[in-house]
Amino acid sequence: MAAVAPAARKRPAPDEAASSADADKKRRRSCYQFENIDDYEMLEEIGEGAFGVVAKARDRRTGGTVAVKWIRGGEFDEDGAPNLPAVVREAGCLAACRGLPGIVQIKNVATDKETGDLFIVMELVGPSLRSRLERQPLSEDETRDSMRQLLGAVEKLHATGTIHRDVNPDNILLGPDGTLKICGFGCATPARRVGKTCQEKLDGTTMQYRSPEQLICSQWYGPEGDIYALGCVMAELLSGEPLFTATTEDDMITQTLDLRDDIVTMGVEAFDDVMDHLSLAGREVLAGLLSYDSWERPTAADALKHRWFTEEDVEKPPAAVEP
Amino acid sequence: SSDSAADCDGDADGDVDGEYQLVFSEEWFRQARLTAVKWILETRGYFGFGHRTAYLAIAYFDSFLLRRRVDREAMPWAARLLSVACVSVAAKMEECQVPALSEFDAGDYDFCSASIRRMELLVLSTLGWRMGAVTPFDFLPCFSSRLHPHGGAGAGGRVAL
Repeated sequence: MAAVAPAARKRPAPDEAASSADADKKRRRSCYQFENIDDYEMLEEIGEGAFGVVAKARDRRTGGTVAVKWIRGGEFDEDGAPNLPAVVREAGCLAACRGLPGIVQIKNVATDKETGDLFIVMELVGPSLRSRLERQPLSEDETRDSMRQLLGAVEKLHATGTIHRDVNPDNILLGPDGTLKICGFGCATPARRVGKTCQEKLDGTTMQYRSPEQLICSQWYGPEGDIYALGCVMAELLSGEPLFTATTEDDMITQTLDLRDDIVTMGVEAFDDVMDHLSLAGREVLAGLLSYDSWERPTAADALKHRWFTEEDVEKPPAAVEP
Repeated sequence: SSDSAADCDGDADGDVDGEYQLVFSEEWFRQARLTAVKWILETRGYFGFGHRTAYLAIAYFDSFLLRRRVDREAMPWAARLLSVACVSVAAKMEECQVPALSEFDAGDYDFCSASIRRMELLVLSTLGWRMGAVTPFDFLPCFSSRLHPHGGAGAGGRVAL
């Protein structure tokens, strides 16, 4: 290509002008074409969230299977043109995470020529961690492995300047080789505008994994909320049951406050009810992730430096550990 | 490749890099860009957007023109349409309240929402949907907390995250 291009430029001027204009037009036209949703054959619906419907689909051109997410736009201009901030933000946040191993990969954005709807095309991973948990809880070693992957993914996610805001077992996918990938970016947002993170979309998120600062509708929250959600996930991995079971925001606030009191008064014994088999180091990690005050929580990178992750098999039962 | 936008980028970068350097150095282009920047800043003020939104819009404007050629003949209106699309996309990324496309005042031009939306999509696909960018504003809280007498290094580190 490098050899051809200079030769082409040496052609006589009029010709060159015409051909480069033609090439320009062609290039522009080809780039105008978004991927068409007709290129995908919808196979089955695999999930429905607050922000859209996800379907398994086959790429007619390659035969490969992908996940296609239709985003509920809902907002239209007066003359009917869809105004889709939801798609821009979700696809923009996913695109910022391209190449990160623990994040589901965006492949493309396809459009429906007739309705103007946009679809996010992603790699197909599954099933969800939720469906895995329905069989039985994880052992401590399995939990440690899962949490290492999840904290690693969230560390990289936060490094891109993105916060997820809806981490829960439905939004964590389990690959065939045991790798975990975070998906469900419908609520993700750039984290940079400290103090003005938008609250409006939180209504669709799973309440039982919301951090205290999100529950009290503080405008001052950042990546720490994802860490709290990971704490909830970790407890659920070990016990098989959601840590919080409240169904209203008020009850949720009460339950998080109760947990805070338990942690303050009982320390690492706070989790005796649900996971008495967990090692002391594991409890320290869990208590850290679930710290009520956001500034007390470790960052994902700091959590991974805890001895529970770095010194495997040092200790087994909590009783055998010095006081 | 599954990423047609990235393919386009590759094309543009490969064989027309030199031409763009030329275009960027021309006086008419500098004027057009200056006008666009002025319009973007005015629009930011009108809607009460954050400064980051304006910065992002200008960043989109520049990286779009690095990848795609706009003919000089089409320039006055094409640059304005591009500016509208860039501000609108930046607002979608950054702002809580996103104005409808018809609310943008394009000055001497009257773009229909469908045209603006097509341009938005062209900007998005040209930039490969990578709409997040690091701006100087991201570093301000970190610096200001360090200047503040009571904001220790710890607080600065947190904000920088």
